[in-house]
Amino acid sequence: MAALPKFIGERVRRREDPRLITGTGTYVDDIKLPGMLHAAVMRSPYAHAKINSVDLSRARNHPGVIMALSGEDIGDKIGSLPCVAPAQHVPVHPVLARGKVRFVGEPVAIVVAENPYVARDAIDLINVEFDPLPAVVDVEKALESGAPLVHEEFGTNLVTRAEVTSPGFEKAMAEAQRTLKFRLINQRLTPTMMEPRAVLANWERGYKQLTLWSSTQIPHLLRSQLADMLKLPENKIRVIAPEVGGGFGAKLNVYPEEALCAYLSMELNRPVKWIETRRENMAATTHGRDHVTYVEVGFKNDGTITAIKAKFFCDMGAYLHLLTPAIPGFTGLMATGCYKIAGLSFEQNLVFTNKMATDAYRGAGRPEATYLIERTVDMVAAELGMDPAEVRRKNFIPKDAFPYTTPVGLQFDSGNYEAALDKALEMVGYQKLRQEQAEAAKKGRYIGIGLSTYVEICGIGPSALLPPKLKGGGWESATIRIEPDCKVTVLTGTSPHGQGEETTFAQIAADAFGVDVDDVTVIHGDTAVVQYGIGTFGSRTTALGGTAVLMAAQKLQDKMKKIASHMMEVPPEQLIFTNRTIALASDPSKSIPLQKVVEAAYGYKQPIPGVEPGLDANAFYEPSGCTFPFGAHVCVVEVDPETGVVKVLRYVAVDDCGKIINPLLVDGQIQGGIAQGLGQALYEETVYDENGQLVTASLMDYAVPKATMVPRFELANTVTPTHINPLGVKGVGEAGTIGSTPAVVNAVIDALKPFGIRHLDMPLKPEKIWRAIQQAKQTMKG
Amino acid sequence: MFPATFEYHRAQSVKEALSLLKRLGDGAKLLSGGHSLIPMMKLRLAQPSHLIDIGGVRELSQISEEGNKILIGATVTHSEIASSPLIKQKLGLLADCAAEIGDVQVRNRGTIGGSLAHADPAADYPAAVLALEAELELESEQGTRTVKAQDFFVDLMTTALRPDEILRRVVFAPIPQGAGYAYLKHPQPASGFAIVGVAALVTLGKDGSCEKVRVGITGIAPKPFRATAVESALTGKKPDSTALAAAAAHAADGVDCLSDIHASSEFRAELARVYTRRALERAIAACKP
Amino acid sequence: MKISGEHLLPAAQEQVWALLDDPARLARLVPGVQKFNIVAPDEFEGTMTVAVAAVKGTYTGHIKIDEKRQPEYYKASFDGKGAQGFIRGTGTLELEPKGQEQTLVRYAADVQIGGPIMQVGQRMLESVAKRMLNDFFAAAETELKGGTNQS
Repeated sequence: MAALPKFIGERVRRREDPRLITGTGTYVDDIKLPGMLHAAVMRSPYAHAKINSVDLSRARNHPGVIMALSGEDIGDKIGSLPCVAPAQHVPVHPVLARGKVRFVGEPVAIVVAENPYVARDAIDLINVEFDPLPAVVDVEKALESGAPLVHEEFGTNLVTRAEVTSPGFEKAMAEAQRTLKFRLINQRLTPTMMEPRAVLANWERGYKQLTLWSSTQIPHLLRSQLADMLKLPENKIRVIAPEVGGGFGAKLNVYPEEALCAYLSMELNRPVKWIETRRENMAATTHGRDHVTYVEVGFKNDGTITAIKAKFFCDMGAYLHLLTPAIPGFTGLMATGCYKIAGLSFEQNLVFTNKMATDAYRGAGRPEATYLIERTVDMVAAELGMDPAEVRRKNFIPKDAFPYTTPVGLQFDSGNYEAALDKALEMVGYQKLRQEQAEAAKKGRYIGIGLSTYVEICGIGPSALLPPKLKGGGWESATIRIEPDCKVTVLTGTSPHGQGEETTFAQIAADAFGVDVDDVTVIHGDTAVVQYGIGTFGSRTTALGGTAVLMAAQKLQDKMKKIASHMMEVPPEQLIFTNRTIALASDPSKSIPLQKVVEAAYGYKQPIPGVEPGLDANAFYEPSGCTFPFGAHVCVVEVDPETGVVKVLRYVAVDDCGKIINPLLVDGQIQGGIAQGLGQALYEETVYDENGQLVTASLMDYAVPKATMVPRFELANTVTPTHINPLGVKGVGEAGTIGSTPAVVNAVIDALKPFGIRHLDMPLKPEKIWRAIQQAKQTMKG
Repeated sequence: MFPATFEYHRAQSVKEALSLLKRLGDGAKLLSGGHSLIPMMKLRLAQPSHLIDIGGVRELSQISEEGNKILIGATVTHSEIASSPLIKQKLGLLADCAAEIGDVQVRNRGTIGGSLAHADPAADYPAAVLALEAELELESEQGTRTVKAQDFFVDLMTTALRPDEILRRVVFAPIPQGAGYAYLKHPQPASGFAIVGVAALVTLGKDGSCEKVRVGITGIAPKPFRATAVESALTGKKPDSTALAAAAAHAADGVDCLSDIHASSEFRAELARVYTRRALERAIAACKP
Repeated sequence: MKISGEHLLPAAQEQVWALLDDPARLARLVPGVQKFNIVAPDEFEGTMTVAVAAVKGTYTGHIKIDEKRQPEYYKASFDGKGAQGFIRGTGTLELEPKGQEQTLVRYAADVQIGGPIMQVGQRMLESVAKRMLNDFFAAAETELKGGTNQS
């Protein structure tokens, strides 16, 4: 038999894909239970209105309708939706509106019927008397006196104001020879995962047990929160996240429909399913970003940036979801990017408006930070007439400065920012490209080259960094069993929903035990099967969950070595796992088959001193710090000055996520991430009109980039391992999104330089660019 | 998303469909590819009580050539038009236009009759159908009448079709030998529909001047239209850049342009002028003397 | 959404005012009105159907005249709702005589539209509104001409 290869570092194909591509995976909506009922939700068409009355009589009398409930009917039987992040004003967040609606799409009533058609029909039979109120939509106007109040009880729309100033900030700003002030908008985005949310609840009366299937990123955290809301013991709730078609952070949450379906199933003793429609998804699943930021940057004539001051107005929407007020924190803390900037001061104003809540969305606070600092660097370069690459080099944290402590106290683990930039510039042929740009300009063509050098924060992290009200910490868990037939089962507390850890974790386990990757099965997302875990978000899964897998594997290795040591009569420290054997490290030909060791552990015919029967091990990994992946992206665009259309000519990305378990999956994450970041730069924007009506309420108007709108990516990596975890991995799930948005915007603004344009807010839609060019031409003439 | 209750009827022939249409009256809608109607039904903006499916009516699904005419049945799909050798050879403008509609799935299901009868102001086909001066055969139990494309589009989502009529087929004269054409579109990034779509068809005379110019524009107004001011400004002229720019400048003359979050009316008008000039440039470059 | 415009009607200002000040007569000219009741002086309610091709919706609504200056100005507020959405807002009408036989009607409205019809139909709403106004003025012209003939 040929020797088995090592799998870590190989482009192993995703084992998830065959079933997903052939439609044989199981999503929530594929699950059908006997006697199952279907729920539909009646939602507010108003951004802000008093509810005078909810008349459900016609809906209740409609044939096939089993139950219809309003917020008043629910009363206190279901607790408030949780927000675990600290904030000065945390409103009660009922699962169905009571007294008032505060955003378009807020659930007002729920109907349960024999089939989804009848449930939907009944929605139109509900008569709600609304008394419309003026809506507050603009995040800055919301803080003006006299603005309508989203929650009257607070007397203000301010959720929280936080100020952070690094020691020595004033001195650093005073050292600046020049300053620039500008305003940036990081627009609201709709996450738009492929599979909208989905819930199926089944209360088994005899067992007094609730099973809840939900398209979620956090089965265990959801279970803990549901236990609170429904007043059930946690060991009587089983949450299952089956196949989940993406989440991008928006499924890192607890939603009304999860609690409502559970409650209704308990009331009716029948399974209740609710499947979100795309329109509901766009209106009532959390949004992302939505900051207005005032930036002041101090710098020297040689391009050295000395200090940054930022004032944020962050739109929280009408309610606080699970982590809503925690997300902007990352933006402020990461605002100095990958640069050695001595002073940082920021003020964050978190604000209620009559819109859907914002919360984590791919990058969650770091894309906003990266956009801020990368636009700032380009502004400085433009002001000084310097090459943006040079300004970056001038300010990079040098590679020998790690571990590096930022002015606000974050500890960057490792980095080599210049190496990533060098590689990216070399790949794109930067000097030649600048010449070509100048040549093209002579012919009236507007080519732009945009750089973005980012650093982000992953693997969060030490539990102390997470909100105290979140029941779990920043750790992650794994259990490994070697079954009697020598196959390996990995149970992870993370909850992958597209990232591919069924493959990467199998690679880690296969290498640990010297078996084939196909000998390993990875199980996740079922709280009755898997030990408590935290979930998949914040690019944490491999850094934390993967490390937990490695740690559990090591515990099991120790046990198996003891057994093998007993059988081979050599000290356990001299043994290694290779090629389905346990062998002598110094002479691998002296080995025993793994199978024999497994038989000894399970059969236990001859007790082994100091070793219990069976083969499973469990590990909880608490990291000592966060990881800080980084990279350099270069985008080349051409702008059509007559139409404002931006064409991406090239896109080069060099990303450093530490050691790489599977380069194929890293590429996939980067590609998808860049597409999403490019979407924000050029196309995407969640639009509410001045009355709080959601205008981008369907995919007919919300412009997610399609395959044909995305260029071919030229990808490479540098590898700077982290010492934080034994795998040396940092995280890559969000990096593409974080790095790409400013690269694209910087490229467009660079193309528009001949017109004297210094900045335009995203998305850079053709009309916006066209208008800016028209205006510039007017100015030039005048 | 779940539509309201409706009754489904499958017609085997045009005759049967017409009789159903008459019998079922106002609450009935014809269904073929379903790519305009079904989404509206799922949103419950449209709630017809009866659907008459003409998707299986064979006499509506043919492309044929009779004498000097090319006849395209109402239920011929966009992908059939984009890939038909006959259409590519003799009505290349229409094939090019069909290839720009939606995505592969949409082109495999959507039909020319459905698109024209629905008369979405941002649909692609009308631009080409207008530039090609097609005629539409409308049939009712009273008989068949023929309507010129420019008379067919009446207003936003409103056509000359009467409630008891079916759009049976679209009749085209082949593009003359040597004529040049182009369909250019500025797509709305979310839907792929045209913010502006311009179909241009140009025949050059022996002296190199423009003998015949036809320009159809979609997307900017409540209804698609022939840009006759552009056509007449260029006809008889040598198509140099000055003449082209001067003619294209009339593209949005007298048009009350649409406005939405994707493009203001002012920008739509400007795009119409730019795309008209570019479509004309391409059409002229493609002319063979 | 803000809509404004003007329309020249072929009748003297007093005649136009008489028409616009007669709600029952007016209601007959608005396309799609099915029910119309006067609930109080200068306050009305009714039902109307708005149809654009296959998109059809029935709305019940309420109109109140807030301010009236005979024969040249009035201001009204309105709201209506149906399964596909709601509409509310305020509008003004100004009449300016153009000689003996013509009157210029200036209209302006600030309209809030919400619900599904707004969320998926925004690109078409302005065109639909303009079309309804055109239909209304066409009907008003016919009515005014008819009125002239009778007298």
